Amino acid sequence: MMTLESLKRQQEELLAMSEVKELVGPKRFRLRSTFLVALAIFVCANAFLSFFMPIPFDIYKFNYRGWSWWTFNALREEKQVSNVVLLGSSTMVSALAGCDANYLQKGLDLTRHHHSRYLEDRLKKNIAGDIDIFSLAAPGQMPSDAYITLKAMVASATRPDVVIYGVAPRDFIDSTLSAPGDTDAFKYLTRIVNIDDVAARVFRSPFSKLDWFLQRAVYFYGYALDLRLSFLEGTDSVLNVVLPRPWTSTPFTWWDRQRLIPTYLPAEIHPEAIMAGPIDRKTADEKFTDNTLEYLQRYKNPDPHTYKTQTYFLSQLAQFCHKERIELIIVNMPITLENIRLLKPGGYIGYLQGLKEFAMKHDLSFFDLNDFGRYHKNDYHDSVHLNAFGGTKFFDDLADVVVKDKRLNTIVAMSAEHLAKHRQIAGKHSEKTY
Amino acid sequence: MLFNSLQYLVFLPTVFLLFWLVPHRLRVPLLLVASYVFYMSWRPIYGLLIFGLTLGNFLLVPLIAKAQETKQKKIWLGVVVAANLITLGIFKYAYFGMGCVKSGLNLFGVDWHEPHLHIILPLGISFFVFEFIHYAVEVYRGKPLVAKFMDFALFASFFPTQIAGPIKRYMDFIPQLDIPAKFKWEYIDEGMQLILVGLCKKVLVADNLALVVQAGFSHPEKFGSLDLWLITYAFAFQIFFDFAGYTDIARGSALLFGYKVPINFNLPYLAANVADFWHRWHISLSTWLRDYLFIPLGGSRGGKWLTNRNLFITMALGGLWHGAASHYLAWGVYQGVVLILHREYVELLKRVGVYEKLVASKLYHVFSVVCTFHIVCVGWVFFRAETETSAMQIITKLLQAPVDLLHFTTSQLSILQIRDPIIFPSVILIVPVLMISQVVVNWLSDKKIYKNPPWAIQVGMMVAMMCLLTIFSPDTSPRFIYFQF
Repeated sequence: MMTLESLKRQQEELLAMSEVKELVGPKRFRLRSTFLVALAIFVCANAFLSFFMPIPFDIYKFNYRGWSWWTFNALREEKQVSNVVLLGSSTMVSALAGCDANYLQKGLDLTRHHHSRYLEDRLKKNIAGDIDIFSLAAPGQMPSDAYITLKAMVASATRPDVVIYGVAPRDFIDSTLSAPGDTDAFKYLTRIVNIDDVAARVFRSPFSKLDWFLQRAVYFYGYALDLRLSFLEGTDSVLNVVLPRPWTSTPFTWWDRQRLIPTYLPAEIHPEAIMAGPIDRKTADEKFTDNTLEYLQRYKNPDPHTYKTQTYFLSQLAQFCHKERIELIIVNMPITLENIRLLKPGGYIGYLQGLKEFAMKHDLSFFDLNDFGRYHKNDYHDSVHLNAFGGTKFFDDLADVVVKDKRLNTIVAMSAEHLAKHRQIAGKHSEKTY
Repeated sequence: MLFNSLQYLVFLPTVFLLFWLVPHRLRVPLLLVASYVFYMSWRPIYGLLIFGLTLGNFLLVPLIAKAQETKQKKIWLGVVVAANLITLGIFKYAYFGMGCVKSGLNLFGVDWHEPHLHIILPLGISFFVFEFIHYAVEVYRGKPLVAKFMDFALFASFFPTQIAGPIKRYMDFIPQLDIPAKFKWEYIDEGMQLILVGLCKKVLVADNLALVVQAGFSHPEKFGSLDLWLITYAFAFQIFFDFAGYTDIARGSALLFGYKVPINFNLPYLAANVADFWHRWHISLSTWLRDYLFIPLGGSRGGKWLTNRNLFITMALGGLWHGAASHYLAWGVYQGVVLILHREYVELLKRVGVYEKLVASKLYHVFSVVCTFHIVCVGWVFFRAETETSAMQIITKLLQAPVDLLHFTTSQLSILQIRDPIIFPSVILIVPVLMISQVVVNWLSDKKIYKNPPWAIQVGMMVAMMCLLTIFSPDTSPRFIYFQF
């Protein structure tokens, strides 16, 4: 019977024979390790390319046209300088979109509508000069996204004089929040701005940190997207010649693609994919949806790490604004009492107190605009998002506090005057048609 | 932990360095710990499952060897095989079984609400259970027992082959553990070369084709017959490059430690008939099915009808091994039927007296390869489609292809309309390139330049692969297809 011992002996004999064969075989030049040579060449090629950067890439090119891409695309196409900027999550986006759609009485494509026309006009009624409000708010925007978004704006476009940041408890304690580095905003905007100063806080897992390090250290990995895009453009041009798209009466659209391959670029936004239209009170009331279950999940397990990280980024935002001489105004967004009751007992009070202390520490203006007596259920789409009517109330309130606060009034007035002068010098008409 | 993940990029070099730094007697324990870390990184509790099965088999299989009488041996073998199959059945087929019972009861008007068992399929269970059964059967057949528990535990849990094979044979694997191998640069060179080639197969080919396949198989109504043929070809290459890529990485990883694991593929799409295909596709599974299912059932010793019955049962069960779903069973049945038809066809040719002549003809060989590829592709439709209805819908459309070819215009090809992602129109170019690549590799396989290329070519190829992988590795790569089995 064959035993394992005999098998072992057989294998050892084979091993010895192969070694003998190597010794008696013809002598020829042999590298100690082809892999190590290949690795050394790869490392040298990366070092050379990182040092000389021979290929100029367009940092604004991106394969994923998410909210941030559209915002910065609009910002780049913007011919006017904006002196006031809005930041915030969907609570701000919803208020703005609804309010402006009703104010302008037309449908707004949110990939292209990035101004707060109502608030601009409301402020202009009380403050002389030019006020141009650009909204950098984006659904799901956390303080970490807000920080990098503003930083990217300053780096790539213009420095605003005033930033109004609308926050809600969800932005800090949502248990479904991803790590800062996982968001659409971070993935796109890290192409535009350097985040080395906050890198330690951006990535939560050690492997995300390692990934970030590799992106910085390995040229081919760091510029993988650019190289891929160049390759795809080249392939596309070749295919257009070799296999041109045949004519059909019903061409394949972005909407068809969404239905056919929903997993491909799932959060990509297309023009006219997210619209806000004028709405009357009756329809607004009918459209109210109860999202309590969703928020029960979001508030279920508040993650202390997320809270700490997002508070850190809020503080970074304040420091960045201070350094850039930007007036930062923090606003507590209106949400329903029903939604607040879903928070852990004392959670909302703690959150408000934290914001107040934060504002005092950083010498910022803070306004709590969540007035339960003023905002009613019919001012909301759901338990947290204001509709057109609630949005209008909110921007009225916001304009009032800015106008009434002496310090802010002076800052906004100076900025408006400065912008008006700037536009006069630039020879552009300050009145815009919408 | 996926082979194409950063975790593995850290894990593998760490284990590799430790392995060659520690003395020989600590290498098996080190690999054992590493393998359990690898497995438990997914779901720690399932480490207990693999450990429990290992311990159970290690303690029970010697009872087969110790039994004096054949009857006793058979009883103990039955116990071991049943214990393994029951475990596999509970974790893999419980829902499927309950679904079948429910459908059956529904036919009699009984509305049974099956309990929700919260069972998650443990990764690689089908592979290591088959390895345990192989061990028990071989011991029953008189082969030696594994003396050391550590060796046996590593045989079952060895991380390169743990999740998706190849299914190892203990007589090949265990003796390697005791050889006090010295470090050789060849281990790194050949191992890394295999790993890079495997990653390229997975990341560059399989993952890109996945998008087209997913679209085609989830919405066949949006595509014409010619599109669906292209999509079916694309799936044929996706599953091949995905699984062959995994196997290459597994073999390369094992080689870094100086261990050899069996090959799993040998240019399967150049098979000249379906039987030949099964000698080239998932070789470790097909040989397992042959040795531990087909032969115990009687093999081809019992005449034509019994042979055909055994083939049919083997392939149907082989299909079900891939997954607890009726479309996998349908795929297995299809493979069984085409294998039987092939046997009958060969018999017929032999009777007519043209078999030898035809087999010797090059033209017939090419025709056979093309036919076999298409027969296999039709089988893949059952394998990939989410339901049999969807599979039949696709096959019905595929059959319309000759009519559509008669009045062919490019506007018939819906995939030419889709320009984002660009892989859709590219499939028209990629599929022929992949087909030709198989022929080229086959032609090169016995050439010296392919078997032992000059170092400059080896280095150049490795640098190119490193660059391509760093550029084209997607942010989120789909899991290896065979992980689900």
